[in-house]
Amino acid sequence: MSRESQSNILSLLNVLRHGDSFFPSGAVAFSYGLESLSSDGSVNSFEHIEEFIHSQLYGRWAGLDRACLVSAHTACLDQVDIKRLIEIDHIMDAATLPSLLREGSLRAGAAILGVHTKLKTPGVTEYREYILSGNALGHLAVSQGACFSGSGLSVVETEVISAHTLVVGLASAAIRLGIIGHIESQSLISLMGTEIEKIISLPAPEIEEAWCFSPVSDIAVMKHEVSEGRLFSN
Amino acid sequence: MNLSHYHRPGPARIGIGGPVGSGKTALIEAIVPRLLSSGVELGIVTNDLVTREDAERLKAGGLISPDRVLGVECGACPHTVIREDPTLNIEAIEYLERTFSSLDLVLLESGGDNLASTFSLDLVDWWMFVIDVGAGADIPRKRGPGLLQCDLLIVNKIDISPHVGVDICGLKKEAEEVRGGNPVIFTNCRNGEGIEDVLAHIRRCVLLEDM
Ligand SMILES: Nc1nc2c(ncn2[C@@H]2O[C@H](COP(=O)(O)OP(=O)(O)OP(=O)(O)O)[C@@H](O)[C@H]2O)c(=O)[nH]1
Ligand SMILES: [Mg+2]
Repeated sequence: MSRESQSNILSLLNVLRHGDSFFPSGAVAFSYGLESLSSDGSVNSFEHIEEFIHSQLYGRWAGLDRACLVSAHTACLDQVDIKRLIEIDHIMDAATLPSLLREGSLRAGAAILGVHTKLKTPGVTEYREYILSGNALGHLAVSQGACFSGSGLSVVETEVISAHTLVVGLASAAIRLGIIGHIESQSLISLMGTEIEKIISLPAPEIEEAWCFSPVSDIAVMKHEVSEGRLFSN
Repeated sequence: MNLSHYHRPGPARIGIGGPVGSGKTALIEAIVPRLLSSGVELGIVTNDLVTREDAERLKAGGLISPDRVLGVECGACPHTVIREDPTLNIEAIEYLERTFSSLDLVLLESGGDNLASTFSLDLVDWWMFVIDVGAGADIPRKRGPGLLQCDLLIVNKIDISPHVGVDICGLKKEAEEVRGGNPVIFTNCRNGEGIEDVLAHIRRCVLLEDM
């Protein structure tokens, strides 16, 4: 085997590891409004789940998460630019209306940063210290950008992993909520792969132009806040 | 106070697992006042399955200051969040550690699960598994990893044995056999029977008090 194909295999394995739901990230606890929409009956079929995930990808991930992810990845390429990470975090925070989404994003960010700190991923410890001392926020997309950059993943790999783990997390939540089965979830993940490819083939928005529009899931998350019985934290 | 720090700095961590309704929260309610009165600084994390009931019950119970109790949702995966992916629980515990710097001990109640649930030792230092007499005399015989691997097996609700037709002597013999010499304690969390024994284990094995 040539040296080049060996290194391709290693980078493929690296992508698989970070994109695997076995990677500890706390993702099982989050539904991004899906539990609330399922319990009020407005999402109860394959088509509904497809529409929901599609709207999460286009309405939230493509314009906001992706912008934050890509600029955080860039800010960590040579030397970690903490000031920049702090700025990106604030943009993410300001653009996320429901408090359970903000909290969820911070908790998921803390989870991934905690694991990468213990794994000694380069560049992560300093950012985490800023967060622990209250001087940075540590949202999920920003933390992913920092952790994946430090793990030697390219920007495109980082984007693919972030979008794919979002889709897998939602499909898995939909299974646990009893809306779809294991085969349907795989068709869904495959369908969404095409959408992820479409989104990533266009340039990522600049962080200053980050945007988000996901009113239905935002309202669902707000309703989740006061829900009595819940499996997921948002 | 002399504390066990198996492989990390900070307070010791005890996991409490076991099937739904076996008495995990009741056990916490029984041991917390006794630990507090002997000067142990405590924090509690609960992994409620569907509601925030356990966290709310402990906060409202007046046993411990509500800000020392955190509920962590587990997305219907109670076993995942104590074993394969304990990250959110670790973050919750570390939050308590940062907020209450003199914490000695954190108790983590798992969401009710099956007999196969076990704790990651990256999450806790030592863990108990609570089963109850009402689930039937054949539970120990089923030898789930939870009741085999735990540091301390608790068989709770011994008071109800006459009502559920369980021969408590037979159950004791079988539980002790299955545990192969590892500790088993029989409790009634309602009247405190066996609780001093549980505390003695915690003091010796986790708080390392008589070392
Ligand atoms: N008779 C009797 N009842 C008990 C005892 N311990 C707990 N209970 C009761 O059993 C029920 C369940 O107790 P919990 O402490 O909520 O059980 P749990 O394991 O925390 O339950 P989940 O968190 O829902 O899995 C409650 O009604 C308790 O009052 C006991 O020793 N004897
Ligand atoms: Mg309980």
